[in-house]
Amino acid sequence: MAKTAMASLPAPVASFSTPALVVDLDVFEANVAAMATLLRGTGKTVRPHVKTHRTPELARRQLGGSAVGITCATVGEAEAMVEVGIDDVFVANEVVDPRKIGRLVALGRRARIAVAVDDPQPIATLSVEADRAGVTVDVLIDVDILLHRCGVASAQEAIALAEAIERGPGLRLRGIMGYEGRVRLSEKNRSAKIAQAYATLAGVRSALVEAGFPVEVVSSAGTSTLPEALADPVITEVQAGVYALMEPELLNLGLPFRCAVSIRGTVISRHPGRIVLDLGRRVVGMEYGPPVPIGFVASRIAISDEHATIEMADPLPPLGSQLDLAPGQIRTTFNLHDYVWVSRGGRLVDRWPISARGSSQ
Amino acid sequence: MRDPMPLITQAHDRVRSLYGPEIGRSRDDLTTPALLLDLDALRANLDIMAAGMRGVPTTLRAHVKVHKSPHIARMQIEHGAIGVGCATVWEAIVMARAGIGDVFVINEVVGAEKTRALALLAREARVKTAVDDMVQIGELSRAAVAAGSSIGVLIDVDEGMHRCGVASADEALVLARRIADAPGLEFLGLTGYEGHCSLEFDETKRHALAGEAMAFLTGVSSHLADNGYPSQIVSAAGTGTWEVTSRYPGVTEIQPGSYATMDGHHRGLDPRFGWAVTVLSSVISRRSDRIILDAGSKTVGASRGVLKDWDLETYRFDEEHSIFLADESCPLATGDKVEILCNYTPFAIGYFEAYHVMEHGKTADVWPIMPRGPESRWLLDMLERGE
Repeated sequence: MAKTAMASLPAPVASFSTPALVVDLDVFEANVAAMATLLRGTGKTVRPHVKTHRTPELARRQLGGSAVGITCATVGEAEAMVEVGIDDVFVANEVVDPRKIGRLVALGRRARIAVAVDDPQPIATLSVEADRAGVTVDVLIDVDILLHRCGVASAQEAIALAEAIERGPGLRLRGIMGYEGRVRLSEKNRSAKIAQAYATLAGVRSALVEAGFPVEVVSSAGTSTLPEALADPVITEVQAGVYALMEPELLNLGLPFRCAVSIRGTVISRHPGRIVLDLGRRVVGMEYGPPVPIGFVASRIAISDEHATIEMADPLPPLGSQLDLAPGQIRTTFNLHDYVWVSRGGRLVDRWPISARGSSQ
Repeated sequence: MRDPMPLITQAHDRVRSLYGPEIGRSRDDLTTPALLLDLDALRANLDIMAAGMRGVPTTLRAHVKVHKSPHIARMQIEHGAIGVGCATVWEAIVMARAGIGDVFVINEVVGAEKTRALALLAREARVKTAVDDMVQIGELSRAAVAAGSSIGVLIDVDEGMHRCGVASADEALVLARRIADAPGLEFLGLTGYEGHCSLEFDETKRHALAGEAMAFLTGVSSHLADNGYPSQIVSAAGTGTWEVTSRYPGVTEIQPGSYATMDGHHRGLDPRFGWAVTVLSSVISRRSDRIILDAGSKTVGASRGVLKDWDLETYRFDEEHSIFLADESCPLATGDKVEILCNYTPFAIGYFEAYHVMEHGKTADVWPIMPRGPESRWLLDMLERGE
């Protein structure tokens, strides 16, 4: 029989309709505290990546101590976060569209803004806009250290960009970033890959320093590479985001974080050996596989658009009962919801807007 | 003059205020990522379906879960659809408020809020839903009686997909009797979805599978009729089987949806329908061997997709990026726009709040995607207030 850990509704929560996304605030806070403990004595900071949840109420609760600002993937996310008073934002992505650059610079009047670059063209636009607005934008050079996505491929390219940044009014070269992406425990040559990535980052840093450029910040790493990043002498801040909410596939890394997110569905149909829940791909991200049952055992889960078909042993839960699953991919899941319900001490206490939902522009 | 559709007007005004500056701009001048709706391609798809249904003894019910657009739904009605199919009660409320009088939630509706919403909606529109269990019939009946309305009920038949639906004619008969006796409910017939056929790309095999599914569905229908419960409606089919199913004796209506917007998966099943929805994206980084776009799994809705007009191999899809191999012979440069063709459009739609409606290469309008959900209780509140 299914365990329904968060079934009781306090008075302020009048009703609860499924499918619904729920964050266990106790677990979330424990994860945030565990990150602070990990960082203690390392001289490094965390700049939580909020693309994970796009939820300002969660972002605010990740700040404090050495965590002075957040990381975003888009200008839209940055706008939503500055809107609630977060005043230190790094867009760890290439912003190229002149209109987006204009929006980013406008945020510079209300917050400290940093952005990544890998091309001279946006540097020029950024400089013109920042100078016109009378603000200073921090710039980090993006280095391709493993992903073969954005980022410069050599120290020479980095130096050329550093020169352009230094020449540009309204811009301040803050340092470099390089994101190695998710490196799973099972990945072949995991240690060597991460070591090579960080060596590339260190090499670019040295070249810039030798050429006389300031490199105060070396920003890198996600939750999956946290142990290696914390041991690295060059990295000054980690851009991890998933740590606060966690995903089932990262639990095998032995990090002090637990899964804080569940998605709740209602049993809408039952047949011999199987039940159907009212949740599917339209509300849960599937990039890392189907969601994982919480408190019940399933022999098979098939996810279609609006349904989860779950094969399980008797006794089947009754029609209308609610079951929880842990989403495999937190980030795309949050982006499919307007709200996340908040549980505390096993009771639903609130509902927070995912106000940067869809802020992909 | 009183606005006949205030809910839709408000949503439309909201996205127009958000994306207003984009209206009138050409494709290459839009902010990305953006969800584009090619109006000519949409019209062509609706025309193909209308022509295909001409002279056929079944009617078309357009499934709107695919696009969640009241504007597209209204165009489908103008192109001959008798009503819409929905996956949720919330979609049904939006479509009814878009002026569509016949809304069928082709899904099991369970839970006090949802049955209440359905029953309230049934005061203002012809509302239908599906059941496969006695418990649902009891809940729906109580809700309809409480609201003083009548809900049309169809028995969901498992045609081989093994998701929801009864598995036998005897089970269906038990439910039909219960529905017929339940106050506030009207037994209308049967519904089934041969979704398993849409995974079979070989047309001959797919049609054979669909034939088996329809033989079962219409067999259940005959069994009920023989026992005094004739079906007014026998509804089935998706875009992968619409043509054969619409011509199957005993079927009365088909419920496809993807034919309007299309995507890679459905083009593999029926290439007569063309791409009407794409994800516009920008090159944000140009390396010597590749381009990086600002649209990835968080906008396309999947870790795959191909480029329109560019024959480039996918290197990888990340959340905010997709990467395509492009050596220096490819003229694409930073800032250039490309369209991504989705393999399954509904997943992309979940990540956007509006369509950029493109006509003659320019944004003619922006249309809201609604309800975005899944938390749509405000729609029940609206009905409760009698608005």
